[in-house]
Amino acid sequence: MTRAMTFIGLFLTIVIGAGTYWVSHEVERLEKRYSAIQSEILNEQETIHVLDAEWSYLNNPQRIESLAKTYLKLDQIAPLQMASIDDLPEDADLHQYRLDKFGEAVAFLPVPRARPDELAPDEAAEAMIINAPSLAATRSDAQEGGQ
Amino acid sequence: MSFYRFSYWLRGDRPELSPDQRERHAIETARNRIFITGAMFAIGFVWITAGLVDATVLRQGNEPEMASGSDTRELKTERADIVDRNGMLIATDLPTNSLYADARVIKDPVGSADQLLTVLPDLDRDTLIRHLSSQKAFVWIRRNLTPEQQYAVNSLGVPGLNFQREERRVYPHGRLFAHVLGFTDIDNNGIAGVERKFDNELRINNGPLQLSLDTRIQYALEEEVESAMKTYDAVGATGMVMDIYTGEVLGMMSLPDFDPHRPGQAPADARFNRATLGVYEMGSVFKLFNTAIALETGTVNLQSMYDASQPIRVGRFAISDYRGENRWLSVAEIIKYSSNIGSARIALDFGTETQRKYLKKFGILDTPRIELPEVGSPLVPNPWREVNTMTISFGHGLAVTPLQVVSGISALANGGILRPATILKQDGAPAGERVISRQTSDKMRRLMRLVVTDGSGKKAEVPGYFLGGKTGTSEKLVNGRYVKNARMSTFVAAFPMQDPKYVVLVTLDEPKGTKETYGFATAGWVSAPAVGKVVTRIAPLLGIEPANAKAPEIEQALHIDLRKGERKLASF
Repeated sequence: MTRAMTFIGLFLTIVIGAGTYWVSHEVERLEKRYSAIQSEILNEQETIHVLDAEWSYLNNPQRIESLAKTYLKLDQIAPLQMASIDDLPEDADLHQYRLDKFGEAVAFLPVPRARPDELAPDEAAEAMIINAPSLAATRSDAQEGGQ
Repeated sequence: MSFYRFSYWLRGDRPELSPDQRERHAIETARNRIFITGAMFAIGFVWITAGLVDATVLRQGNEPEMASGSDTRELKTERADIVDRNGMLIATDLPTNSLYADARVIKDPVGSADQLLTVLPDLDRDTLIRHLSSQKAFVWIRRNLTPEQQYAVNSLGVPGLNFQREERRVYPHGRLFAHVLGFTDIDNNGIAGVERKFDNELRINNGPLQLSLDTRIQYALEEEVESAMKTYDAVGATGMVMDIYTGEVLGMMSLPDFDPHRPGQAPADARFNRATLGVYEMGSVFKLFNTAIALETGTVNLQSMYDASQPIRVGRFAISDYRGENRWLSVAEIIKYSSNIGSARIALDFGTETQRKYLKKFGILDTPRIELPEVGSPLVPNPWREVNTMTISFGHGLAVTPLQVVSGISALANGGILRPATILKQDGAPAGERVISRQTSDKMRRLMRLVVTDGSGKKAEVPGYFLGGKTGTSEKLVNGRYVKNARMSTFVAAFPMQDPKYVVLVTLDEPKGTKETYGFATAGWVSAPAVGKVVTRIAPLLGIEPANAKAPEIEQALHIDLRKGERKLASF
């Protein structure tokens, strides 16, 4: 009994001793790693900072403009080229049909508006507004009129 | 005797008993003592165990977060970054290396100097030798080396030459924000512009400083104004874009400009911020203020008629019109034809005191407030005579900064509220002060639109964006005399006029007419088209949708009745 207890005690002492040693060693190792990571983070932050400056430099409008002129066949947007979602035909129009010249029913498509460069500026400014009433609107008007 | 008894007690012995009883008694005492000692140890261990259980299981189940707090390091630059309204970096600190020498270690100053000169040829040999033989522990040789230069110096292998890590202010967009941002000296102290005004805040470095400027708008403004300046061979130019509801400056530039990395190489003229520091007579732009005062005080309505058929003579001055109509004009026509005579007569009707009171309310007579150290004070006539009242009505005899004009025009267009100009990004509109009523502002919008549709600002028109503004051409004062062919040509416009949101100003200093402008260098020919081009470029960036001129609500908002009304006799 006493002997067993002694062995158990001895065993526990060794285990606890080894455990403590391992833990303290591990802590030391992690602390080293921690400070290494800290300085790595600092380095990365500095790199990010420099890259931020470079990003801003590369985003210089003058540079982008000259690149756009070289590689893109795009021009500055003219006011006439802009349209709002309200200018689009209503949903109802898409389900309408009209008869083409052969008498076939085809889907109703609004007439495309004229290209701005084919018109004088004043005309173009007007053409950009689709002001013809939609088919749905005319039909409901007619019904109200009938009543 | 007592000591004799105590020693027996300590041993647990009772000498008075028989040997047999003594033995038993001694054993009993020993047992008791072992038991008590054991119990003491047991209590101690239980106590420690309970403490451990409490500390590790009950009180705090998980490990305390040691890693947080104390030693997490963050990159902190010497000066804070400056960003534009969209967060784009426009000024930052970058690490560089500077070369210094420990002259005590240098063995051969002349030889080392010659070696250094092979790498950094622009150093002065004599100064360098003097520095290297000075026996000082620290002498700067060259600040802010490029990485190549550093590598080259390092490979020379001269002992006593060392590198000091430093930070250098870098402006990724170069000249674009030169006058607003200002610059720093070699030790990173702000000495102009925002860098100087916010020097302390930038040093404390609590995150980046956000300005109200927009890089894209600034660039569009810069490019168009620069091209106008080149086309008309002007000696200088300035441009500004302001949000009229918040007073935020979205773009501000002055030409000629300078490279903020090398401010010392630029002439003083280039470092001068014409937008806030320069004071100029703004010319006919002031007719808008003049008319607003008259409409606000009720001395006129838009149909009131004034005699502009003949020049006004006051002492040795004569006030005449540039390409005058020489007839009676309504108030609307006075703005449309930019009549000096008519404006002077309007001003006489409300008088000097009213003019001074309202111009003060518009912030024209005080030094403007903006977060820049370079701010000019207006030149106000003293004494303010009747003749001053007349000339100020069309913008002569009172020199102001372009910034004040932009703020004042913003107040005219935004419904009558003057807000302080700012270059810091704002959350919502700051408190303002009402200068004119909403009704007067509404009339001013129509008049400004009239100038662009029918008056001197036709060249600024951009279909869909409804500019409204006023031209102003003034002859420059040189040594107290007006010079005929040296002009300041200003165009200031708000858009879109049915619901104005932004004001744009372009001023050209001494523009010269070209073949395309038939030799004219007046604002309507040189500055107005530049404003039009700026608006074409920035309106999509600002999210302003082009609208149809025939839309009834716009026609209603901008309609102006030019019918001739009753003739009103002028006051003299």
